[in-house]
Parts: sequence; C-alpha cells; structure tokens
Amino acid sequence: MVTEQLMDLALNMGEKMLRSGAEIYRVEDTMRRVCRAYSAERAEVFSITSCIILTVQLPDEAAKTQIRRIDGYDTDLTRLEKLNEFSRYICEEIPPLDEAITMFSGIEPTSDRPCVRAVLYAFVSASFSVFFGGGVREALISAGIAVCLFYLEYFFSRMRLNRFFLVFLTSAICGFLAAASARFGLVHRVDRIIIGNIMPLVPGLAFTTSIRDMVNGDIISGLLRLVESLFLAVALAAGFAIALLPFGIGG
Amino acid sequence: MLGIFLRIITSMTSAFGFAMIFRVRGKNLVAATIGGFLCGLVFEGLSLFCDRQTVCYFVTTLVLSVYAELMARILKAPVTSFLPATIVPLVPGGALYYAMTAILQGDMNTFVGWATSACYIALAITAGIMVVTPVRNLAVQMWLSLRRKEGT
Repeated sequence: MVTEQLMDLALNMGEKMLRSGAEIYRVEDTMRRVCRAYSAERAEVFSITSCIILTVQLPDEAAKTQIRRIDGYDTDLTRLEKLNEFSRYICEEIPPLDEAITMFSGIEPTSDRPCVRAVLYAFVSASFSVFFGGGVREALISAGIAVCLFYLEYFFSRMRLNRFFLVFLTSAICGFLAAASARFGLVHRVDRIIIGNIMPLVPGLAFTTSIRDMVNGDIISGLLRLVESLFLAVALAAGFAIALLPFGIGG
Repeated sequence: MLGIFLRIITSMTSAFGFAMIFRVRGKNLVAATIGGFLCGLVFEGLSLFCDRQTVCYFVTTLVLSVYAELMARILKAPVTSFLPATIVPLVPGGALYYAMTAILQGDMNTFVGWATSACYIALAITAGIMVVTPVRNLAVQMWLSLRRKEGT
C-alpha cells in the first residue's frame, strides 16, 4: 500500500512538472529524490516528453513498476517553481506520506482567464510587429489578429484536430485576415503584421528546453521536442504564406 | 537610432508578455523582463561593432544564458523561468516567414538565402545555450569541493 501511494505521489509530481514545462533531468531527479526520501532501496526513473516510467522497491518488498502517459502541456512556470520547492521540502523534512500527498494536492495551477491570455498574445504580437519595423497601424492590426488567432485556436482545439493541421489552419485564416487588411489599404507592409503574429506562436520554449535536454544527455527527449518544434514552426509559417498566395502578396 | 531604441524596448515588452504567457509571476517576472531588455541592449550594441550576424546571436545568447543561471541561483527558481522568455526576440521568425513565401512563389534563391540564415541563427542560439550549462555544472562542482575542503 505504501509503495503504491509513494509511486502515485512521485508520478503525479513528475507528470505535473513535465506538463508545467520542466526539463527531463529535473523530472527524473525530483522523482528519484522523493522516492529515496521515503526509504526506497531502488528508484529508477525514465522519462521522455510523453511518458514516465518508474520502478520503486521499498525494503522487504518486491519492485513495482508503473508508467504514466503524458498527453498535453500547460506551461506554468510558477507551478513548476512551487513543485520544486515542495520536493526540496519533502526531501529535507520528510513529512508523513499522507501529509505530503495532501500538501501536493494543495499546489494549484496559476489561474489565467482566457481573455487575459488573449490580451497577452495581442500585446506580444504588437511588440514584435514594432520590433520588425512596423508602425502603429501594423501593431494594432497585428494585435487584433492575435486575438482572433487565440480564440480560433481555442475553438479548434475542442475539435481534437491533428496539432500541426490546427496550427496550419489557424495561421492560414489569420494570414488571410492580414492580407485582407492590406488589400483594403489599411496598411502597406503586410509582412510586418504577419511576423508579429508568427513570433508568439514560434515554439521558443520547446526549442530552448530541447537544447538543454540534449546538453544534459537526454538526447531522445531533446530530439523529440526539437523535431516537434521544427514541424510546428514550418506549419505555422506555411499557413501564413499560403494564405497570401491568392492575394499575390509577397515579402 | 529610433529603430535601435524601439527594438530594445520591444525586446523588453515581448519578454514580459512571454513570461506572463508562461505564467511566470512576481520577482521572476521582473527578472525575465530585465532579461528581455538585456537581450535588446546586448544584441543592438554588438550589431553596431560586429558585422557577423551569427557572432552577435551567439554572444547575446551566451550573455542571456549566464544571466538566466544567475537569476535561477539568486531567486531559487528554475532556469526555464528566465531563459526562454528572454531569448524569444532572437528566434528567427522573420527569416522563416520570408523563406516560406519565397518557396511558395518558386523563388529558390531567396528561399535558400533565408532558410540558411534561419539555420545559422538557430545554430548560434543553440551554441550559446549549450556552452553555458557544462561550464555552470563545472563551476558548481568546484564550488562544492572547495566548501568540502574548508569543512575538513
């Protein structure tokens, strides 16, 4: 019973950390430390971006193995920090397992209303629009399109479409909107708008984490993340570019 | 001049926006925003002296990685809270877009030019991140062994 509870706690922690944006070495190290803190003789962890495998052996018991499948991410670096602190606390104080489990369930995700996130995407798009040389008009239109992009993605993700197709579709629709604004003479440089919209969607976090994974020796996970972020980036750019073709607008 | 100023400011604002999107809050958010400012400052400053784009990206990423490691130590937070948000202004989104439009218009020369540029920049950023982690690990190990020697 204790082994199962411990494994549950360790796997839950690992899963939450991975979903929040942790590197692989952090997930594996944390889970190993937590198991050893509760007197595991053996604690073997293997993790990739979509799966965690844990084997724990407590004294005088047989080794048990469980896997946990990870099927989605929800980047939350504040929650990651809290989980980090929590694991440090467990390893130093070693509270009773029940208490640890209760404390863990008290770690809540950082709340974020969709409208706030839409505004953030708009803000970032406008910033990048200006960064690449756009003026106030380009920034405003970029911001408006970013809001559309956000809600479109929200709507389409409910339909369980293939991820890359989802990205391609939403960026094509927004590319169309950007080109339409140029056609109606609202702006001159449609590329400033579009790059402003592309930048928040470029998987910078995944790319950075993949490099750090590979440097830490987790080549499999690093490559998985890297290839995924490359595919996403290409689907994104292709969506925008294709939307512009009918308008005959280039760079 | 105005262009440089705007780019530095928008590096900072975009780092702030990204950090918020990644749900970074409090002191870490401030540190990430300052990191964005640093990104713009270092990159634009280097670009004035150095013609080679790849070197500018590499050195800027290096500086940001060191900054992220320092902040992680000082604020006791994961490096991930600081590094991705500050690096995003460097990611070659523009080059990628121009490469895609070129290939869809059948202009292979332009495509190759932009795609190569994007690859070089990505490699420079990768190198900047990769160099810092082992150096930091080495520094930490040396620091720990020094403390152990003092203890004995």
